[in-house]
Amino acid sequence: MNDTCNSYKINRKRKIKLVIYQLTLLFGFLGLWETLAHFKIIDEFVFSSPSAIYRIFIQYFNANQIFNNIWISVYETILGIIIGSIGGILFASILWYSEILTNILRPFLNVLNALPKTALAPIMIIWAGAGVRGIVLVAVSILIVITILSTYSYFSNVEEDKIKMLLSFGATKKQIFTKLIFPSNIGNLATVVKINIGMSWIGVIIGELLVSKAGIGYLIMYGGQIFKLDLVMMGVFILGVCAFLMYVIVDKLEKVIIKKRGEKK
Amino acid sequence: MKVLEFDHVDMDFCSKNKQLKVLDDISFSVEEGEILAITGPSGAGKSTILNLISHLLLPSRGNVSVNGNIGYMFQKDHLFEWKTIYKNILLGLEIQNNVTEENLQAVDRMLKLYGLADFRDNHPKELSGGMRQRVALIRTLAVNPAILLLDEPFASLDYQTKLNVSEDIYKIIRNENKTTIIVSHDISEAIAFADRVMILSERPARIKEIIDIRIDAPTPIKKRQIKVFQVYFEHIWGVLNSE
Repeated sequence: MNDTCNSYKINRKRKIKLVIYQLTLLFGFLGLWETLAHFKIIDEFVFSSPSAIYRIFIQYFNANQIFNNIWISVYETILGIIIGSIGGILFASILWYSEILTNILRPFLNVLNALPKTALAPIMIIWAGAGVRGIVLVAVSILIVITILSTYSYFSNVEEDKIKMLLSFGATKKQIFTKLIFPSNIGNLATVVKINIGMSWIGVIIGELLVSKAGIGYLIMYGGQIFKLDLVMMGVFILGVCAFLMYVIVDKLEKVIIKKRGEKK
Repeated sequence: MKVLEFDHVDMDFCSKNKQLKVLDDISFSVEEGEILAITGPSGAGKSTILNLISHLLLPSRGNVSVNGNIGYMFQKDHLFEWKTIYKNILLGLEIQNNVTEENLQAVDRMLKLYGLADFRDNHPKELSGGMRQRVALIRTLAVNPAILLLDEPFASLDYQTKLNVSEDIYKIIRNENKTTIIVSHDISEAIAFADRVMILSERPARIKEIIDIRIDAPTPIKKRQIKVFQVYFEHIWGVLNSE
C-alpha cells in the first residue's frame, strides 16, 4: 500500500516538474523576444513583440472583436473535424467490409491523398460558396482522405487469430465489425481525431484567408494586408491557444472513455 | 458413439502450379468423451486436420464426418480487454444469438465451479495468465460444443504455469465430459493429457501410430509422476524419430 502511494507521489512530483519546465520554456521564449525587441536588436515593426501583441489584444477585446472572430473559426473547425472524422471513419468501415471496393478505390485514394488540397481551396470555395460552407469544405477535404486511409489501415491490422476466434463461433462479417474491429480501435480513432484537429485548423485558416469577413484567419490576413504584424501575431497566438484547448478536450474525453471501458486502472 | 470420423482423407494444396500433398490417407475416429492428442513434427499438417474438422477446409479425397458443433480454443486466450470477464464469456452466445436463461445459468455454474465467480466484473488485465486461459475455455464451453479443439493451448506459457493451466483445463474438460482433440508438439503434454496419442509422420502426414495411454492417475501432473509415463515417452520419441 505504502509503495503505491509513494509511486503516486513521485509521479505527481515528476508531472509538476514537467509543467515547470514547459512554462519556463514558454516564458523564456517570450521574455527573450520582448528583450530583443526592447533593445531594438530585432525590428519590432517586422517581428512584433509580446507586449505589442498584448496591447492589440486588449484593444480588440475592448472593441468586442475577439470572441466573435474566435467563435466563427472554432465553429468552422469543429464542423470540419466532425464531418471529416465521421465521414472518413464511415467510409473506411465500408472499405473494410468490401474487399472488392477497396481494391478498386485504392489507387484513387492514394492519388487524392497526394493531391495538394490547399492549392485546390479556391476552386472548392467557388463550388460550395464563400462563407462557412466553403471554408468547412476546404477543412474536410484536407482531413478526410488521410482519415479514410489511416482508419482503414487500423481496421485491417486487427489480429487475424481474434477474427478466427469469432469465426469459430460462426460470426458474420457485421458481427466481427461491431464486436471486434470497431471497439478494439477506439483508442486509435481518438488519435485520428486528435490529428484531425490540426488539419481542420489548417483548412479553416486557408479558407478564411481566401474569402472570409470574420474569423482568426481573417484577422491574420487583414493584419498582413495593412502591414500590422502585431495583429498577425495575435491571430497566430489565439490559434495556438484554441488548438491546444481542443486537443486537451479530446485527450480528456479519450481518457474518460478508456477508464469507463476499464482498460486501465 | 462416434463423434468424429476421418475416412481415408487426403489433402492437397496447390502452390505455384505444384501440387503439395499434406495429408496422406488419414483414418481415425473419436468416441464421445474421449481426449485425443495429435502430435508430430512441425509443418506435418496438424493444423490442417483441425481446419478439416472445423470445416474451414474440405478434404481433397475421402470423408470427414463431424457429429455436432465445434468449440475452438487457441494458443492465446484472445480475450477482449475492453469487456468484463462475464461479457467475454457471453461473446459466443451473443454471436449465435443464443443468450437464453438456460445458457446463462450454465455460465454461472461454470464461473462458480471454476473459481471465477468473484472476477466476473473484472477486466482481463487484472487476471493471471492461467485464469485468462480458464476464461477462454469457459467462453468456448458456453456455446456447448460437441467437440473441443485445442490448438497448442499452452504453448505460450512458461513451464510452471503451463503445468498448472494444463491441470486446470484438464479437470474442467473431464468434469464437463467434453470430447476433445488437442494438438501439441510437446510429447509429455500429449501423454499427460490424452486417452490416445496419434503420431503423425513428416509431410505428407500419415498416421504412424495411435497409442492408447493407460496411466492410473487422475490428473496430468499425477500422471507425470507414475513410472509408466516415461515408458510412453520413450516409445513415442522412438516412433517420431523412426523412418
